[in-house]
Amino acid sequence: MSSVTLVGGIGLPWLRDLDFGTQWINRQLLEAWPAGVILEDLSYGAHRVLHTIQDLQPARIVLVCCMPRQIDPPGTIRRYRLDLTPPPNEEVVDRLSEAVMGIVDLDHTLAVVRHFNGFPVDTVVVEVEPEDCQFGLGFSDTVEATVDRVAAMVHEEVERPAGVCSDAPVITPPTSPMPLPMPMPNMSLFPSKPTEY
Amino acid sequence: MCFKNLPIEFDSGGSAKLKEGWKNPYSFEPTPSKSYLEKLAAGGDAHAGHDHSSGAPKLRDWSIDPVTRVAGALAIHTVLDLEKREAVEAHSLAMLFRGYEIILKGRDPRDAIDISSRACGVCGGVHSTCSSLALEQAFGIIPPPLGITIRNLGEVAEMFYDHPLHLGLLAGPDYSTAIVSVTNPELIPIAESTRAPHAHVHGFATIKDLMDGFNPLEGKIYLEAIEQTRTARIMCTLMYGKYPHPSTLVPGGVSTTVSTTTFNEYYANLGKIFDYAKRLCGIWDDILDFFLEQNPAYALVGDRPKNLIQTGIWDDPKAYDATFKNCDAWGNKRYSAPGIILDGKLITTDLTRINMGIEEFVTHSFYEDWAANGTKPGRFPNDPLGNPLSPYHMWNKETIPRAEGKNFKEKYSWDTAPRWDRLSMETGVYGRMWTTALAGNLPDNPYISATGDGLRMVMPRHEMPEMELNWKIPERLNAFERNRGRAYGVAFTAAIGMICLQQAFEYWRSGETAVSTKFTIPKDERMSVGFWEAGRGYLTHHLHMDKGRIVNYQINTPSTWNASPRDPFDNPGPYEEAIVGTPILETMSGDNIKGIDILRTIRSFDPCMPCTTHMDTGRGIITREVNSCGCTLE
Repeated sequence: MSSVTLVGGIGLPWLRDLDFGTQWINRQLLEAWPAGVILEDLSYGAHRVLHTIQDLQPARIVLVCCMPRQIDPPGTIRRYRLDLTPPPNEEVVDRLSEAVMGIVDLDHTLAVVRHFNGFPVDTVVVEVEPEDCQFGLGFSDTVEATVDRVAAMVHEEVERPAGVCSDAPVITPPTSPMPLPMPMPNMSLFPSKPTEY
Repeated sequence: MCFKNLPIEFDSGGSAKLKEGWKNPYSFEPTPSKSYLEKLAAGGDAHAGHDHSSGAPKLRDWSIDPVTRVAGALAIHTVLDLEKREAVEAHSLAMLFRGYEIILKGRDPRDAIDISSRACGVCGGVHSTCSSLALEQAFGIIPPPLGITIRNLGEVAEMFYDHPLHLGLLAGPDYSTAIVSVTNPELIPIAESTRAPHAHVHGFATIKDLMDGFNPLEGKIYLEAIEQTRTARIMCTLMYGKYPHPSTLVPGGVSTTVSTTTFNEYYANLGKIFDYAKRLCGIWDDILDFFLEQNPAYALVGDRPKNLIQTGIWDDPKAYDATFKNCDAWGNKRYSAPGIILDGKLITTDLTRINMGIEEFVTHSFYEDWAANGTKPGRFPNDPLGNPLSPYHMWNKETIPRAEGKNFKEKYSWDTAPRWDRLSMETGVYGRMWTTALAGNLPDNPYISATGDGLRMVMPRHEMPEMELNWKIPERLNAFERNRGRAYGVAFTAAIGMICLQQAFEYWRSGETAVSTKFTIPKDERMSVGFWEAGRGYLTHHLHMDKGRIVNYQINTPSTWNASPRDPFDNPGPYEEAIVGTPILETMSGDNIKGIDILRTIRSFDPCMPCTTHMDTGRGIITREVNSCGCTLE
């Protein structure tokens, strides 16, 4: 285990607030960060994030992302220490199957990397509830207002002494639905029950 | 005769022309779509070989939405005859629309390389490359030999990401202990006592050990496939700068800064692939042969006519000049041959004939028909050489989304229905091996040769000793042979990688180190096409540009062909065709169907729906945000 702290952003480009992780990292690359902190855009498949973590062997990881959980008002910041208990195997298989085919998703990353014991004990997630998820550049005003507060939180996390874990609550993250999207409303062509002829 | 259904004939000099005397030679009257029951009621041969004289068939729907362990949103609807234990009707539904063609309109053509790359999170390199080919044809430039070779090496590496992950993570689990013990438990004790013929190669003593290896998340074959993607990405990155969306592909070559070390590192990783290919071929031969020996009816799972279309990949740097005028010549020099296979036989390897035979129909797709059943002439009645083109050809295509008439008789998919000579064509890695084997155009080399009935591949020594692998053209095109072909496809690709790598060393040694050609963007009207292949086969990018901007850009991918819905003539697409007639071989409890045989059929194609379709925001409704590789436009 190295003494490296990995701060990773996960974003979905050109989708406004959903691109928060990537764009937040890009902004922070222009700022001063303590020695040993690596800022990385982790907006790629979960298995690739796993490989990156396996290569870096960081002692501490902070993940930053906008994640539409729809359990809090837009602009809410959720900071939590990740419960490293992996989800059920069936869910990991589904998420990994999507990830290898190119789907980028925080929950895929959390599930797959936890399954393969990739995260260090000291792993913290900072999520922001998005407001605007439409096509376009830049954030909504609500999410833009969180940028500095998120930075302050991440600074708190990375500047803790080595070996001292975050005092953020340890939780299992709520998860996005699986598997992949169902058809658009009113698009289903299938009967709700099998038809017997 | 090349075409039997299109109104095209050839003169004594081999030039194509429209048959005379036809007012609207490409026009047609759509055939009403009929269900299996309607065909039975009409007294027709709904499905050959069925005898329902004893009474009404026992039918029921079996649908899955979405199909898991495929890329993107694919839904399948089937009607099963439970008495006959067979699928009798099928519909393939691509459930998302995105619209890259619309996004690209009016843009600087150079944008197409980066934007089209985002059509897929696995095949980003193939789209970038295909786009580069289309642009350099339009710009009138030729890449230098090393630039072409580096592009080849990048594509070789990209296949090493695609094929292993499909075989290990997506299709493989269908043959795992975890699945088979539920769907066909009677096979497990037999597998335990059956020695694996290639145990000395892959290290799995029995068939049951192999099945254990396919178990998701814990099996050795599954886990090795994940690790394999790391090797592939390293190789891609050496040539592309990054992966899956390359940063160094440009019209006229690449902008990669290479050195001797670059090629040495690539070679070191290619060696790992040699050994992986040796094991993989043994693994898939053993598992598939076991199933076929236990029940020969497995040969009917996913079986469909041996009709394939391939556009060819990996250019000979001495032959490729980027022009449409010479595309038959340089296409025939490709290390993986373009071609049309009908009923297993090679009809043509000429890219012009492949191109002129293609139409893309939307009768059962959520788009407007821009050509009024073929009565409205297209913008381009001919290709740049004067060969006739259908109004439904991609150069004439207009992408007009319209999600109306949602039912199986009208429209049911965001995928279109590409056809060649109005026939339903499949494409895949096995297809390019098929065309290459029959074309016999491979250059003299020590690694791969056509044998007349297949391909002989020599995998050099790495940690394992040198090994000869022989892929035979299969007698049937079914789910098992697709997977077997994909496993041998890793060896096929590795052999071509070795040819290209030695070329790269030679160019480097002789001082031919240029990798790109300068270009200017023409301001006059141009039309061009990139012919290339993705991991799953056929790929074209058709470009029409004017005043330095894109007027029309049409992407046609392998899964567009494979996943296609019915065409105007009520002919099913390849997935649909492969499902119909597939026997239900799983052990059933009552009418409780798990559908493993249908799923094996679908997954054997390596479906990729992100390439096939494009996401819809028509009413501002997005059910769940999905994104590929952190840089898409979705």
